[in-house]
Amino acid sequence: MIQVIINGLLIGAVYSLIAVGLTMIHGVMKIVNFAQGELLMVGMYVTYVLYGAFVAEGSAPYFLIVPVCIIMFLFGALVFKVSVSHVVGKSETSYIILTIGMSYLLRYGFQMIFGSNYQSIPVSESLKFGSITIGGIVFTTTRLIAFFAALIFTIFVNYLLSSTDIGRAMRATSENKTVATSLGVNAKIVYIVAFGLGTVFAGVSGLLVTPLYMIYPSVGAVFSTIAMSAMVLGGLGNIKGAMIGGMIIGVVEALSSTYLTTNVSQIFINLVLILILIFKPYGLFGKGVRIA
Amino acid sequence: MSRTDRKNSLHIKSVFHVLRQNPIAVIIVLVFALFPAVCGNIYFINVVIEVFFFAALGIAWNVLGGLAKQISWSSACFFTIGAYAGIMMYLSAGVSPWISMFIGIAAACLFALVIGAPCFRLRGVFFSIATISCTTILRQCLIVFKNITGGSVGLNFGIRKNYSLWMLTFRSKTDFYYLSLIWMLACVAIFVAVKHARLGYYLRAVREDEDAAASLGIIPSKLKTKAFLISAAMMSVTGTLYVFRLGYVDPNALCAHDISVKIGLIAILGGMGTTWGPVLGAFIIIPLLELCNYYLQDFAGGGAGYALYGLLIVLIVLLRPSGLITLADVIREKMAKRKAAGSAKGV
Repeated sequence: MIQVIINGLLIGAVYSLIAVGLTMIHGVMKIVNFAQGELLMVGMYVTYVLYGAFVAEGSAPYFLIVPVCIIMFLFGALVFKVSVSHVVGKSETSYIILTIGMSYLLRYGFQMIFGSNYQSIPVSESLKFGSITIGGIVFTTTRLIAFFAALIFTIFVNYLLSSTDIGRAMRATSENKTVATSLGVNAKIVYIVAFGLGTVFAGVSGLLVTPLYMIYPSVGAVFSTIAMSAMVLGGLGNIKGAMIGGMIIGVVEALSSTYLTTNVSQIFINLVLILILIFKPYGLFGKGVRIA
Repeated sequence: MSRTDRKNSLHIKSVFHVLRQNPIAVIIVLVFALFPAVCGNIYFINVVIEVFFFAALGIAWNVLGGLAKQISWSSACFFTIGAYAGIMMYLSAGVSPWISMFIGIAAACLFALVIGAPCFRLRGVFFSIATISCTTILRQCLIVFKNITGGSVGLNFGIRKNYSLWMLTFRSKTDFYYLSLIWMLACVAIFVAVKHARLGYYLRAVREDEDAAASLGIIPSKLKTKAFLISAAMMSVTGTLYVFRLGYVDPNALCAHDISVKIGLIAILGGMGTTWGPVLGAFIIIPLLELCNYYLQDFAGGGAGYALYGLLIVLIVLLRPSGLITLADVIREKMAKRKAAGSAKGV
């Protein structure tokens, strides 16, 4: 039982990281990115290509984290500049549709480039199936690394938002764009940085799960819904909420797929989401506006 | 004349009114009525049948999505419920689709009530995300309860021999073509009736400002639920008809997020809340996907159709967010201007 919960928490941290990226984008520009899972897929393929080109077969992919971050940031900035920037501040429908269109474009664009076959990076057996046992509980190495990496990135975001200039600018813009702009915040740059960072988190999550999952163009669909549920669970625009939401989903998934079947886990994740929304319509930690 | 009679005649009048208002639409419908007689290619006829079904679904989506601006991604649920109702009733007792259709409607409405209660408490994008969850729950349930629903393999009609309208088994494809065309036009009529009924005006009030509407004594969640029920019933009937053409159900293909998205996009790209928008949207999106999948299936991993679809969505949102049907208004305006300029010259 504890073992299962631990497993859930470990993978939940990765879900949290994706959800944190989503929350970041939503917090600053009030856009829910339905293509977040596809950005993760892009991260997986970037890792795959870089691994094939520069890394000796069998070694761990983790030090690719720096080039993946840089590439994903640039990619995110490009995506934002070309498309998303045009719907910032417009109606909900337009960004929902735009990001959904983007997700199809990315998914099937990558299918055209890489084919629809399942691929994986050739990490060594010892990394893939290695584990550490502490007090009778088995920690799979890949999941453990993913957990700590995700944790470090989330702490980094918290630090960034609370104690740096760009972080303060981001929070100011998210609260009131007009006032922030009039006080000298360059909203354009804030938006680009926020979207770029959101993309980086998706990309890093992609890198972290490459030793665990197969790489294929529609892999993002799975993560998209999970990340969105995690974000909504925690309450939109709330980094801590997104983290806890991701963990909850990880645990629910682990419990239901261990004690029932894998197919059931999806039912339970979504049921938990709907149930929480019934009692807390703005998520667990959301500060919803009161409706008269 | 009793009150209901007068109401009905009003609806019929408004339908005729719309027909008179849209001579181009009437001409297009006539063209499509004659299409199978001219086109001998069975493949193209099949594509157009698909278009009609998805146009019907798009119109049904538009009742809630267009009039009340509730972006729902649970359309595939009701479509699937209708399809399963049709095929399960047929396989277990040989029931005609014209009867199982109503059982499908009842089941779809029940499902809509169950998911509407929690979902309509949410607003905006929260509502959208909650409806996505509903599709996933239904699909996984269909897969998990194997002994009733056939699991992930789905169900199959097998060979049907007796050709009859009652059982919806036809010798030629053109029969189904006309059936789907008639159903699509019926959906247009239902949409127009709802739009011009009291419910339609209320829904549009909710769309413009939910709080203001509520303060004037409208109960938004009740109205949205009503629209949701109408939309669910229409989708369920479409599902029943559709499955009798398809011959099988596959939960992963039918109750998919992709299908919900396709239905919503058809309505949004065509023109949200407009009568003919979803029809136009279906005529652009479905042939694009079908033809690309048919002709480009060996090209570059077979993703070209959907990649183009994605590109098209992005472009339309950026260039014409109000929907393609509004292009017609632009053209109409230009023609009116030219006419005015011409008559001015004449004088």
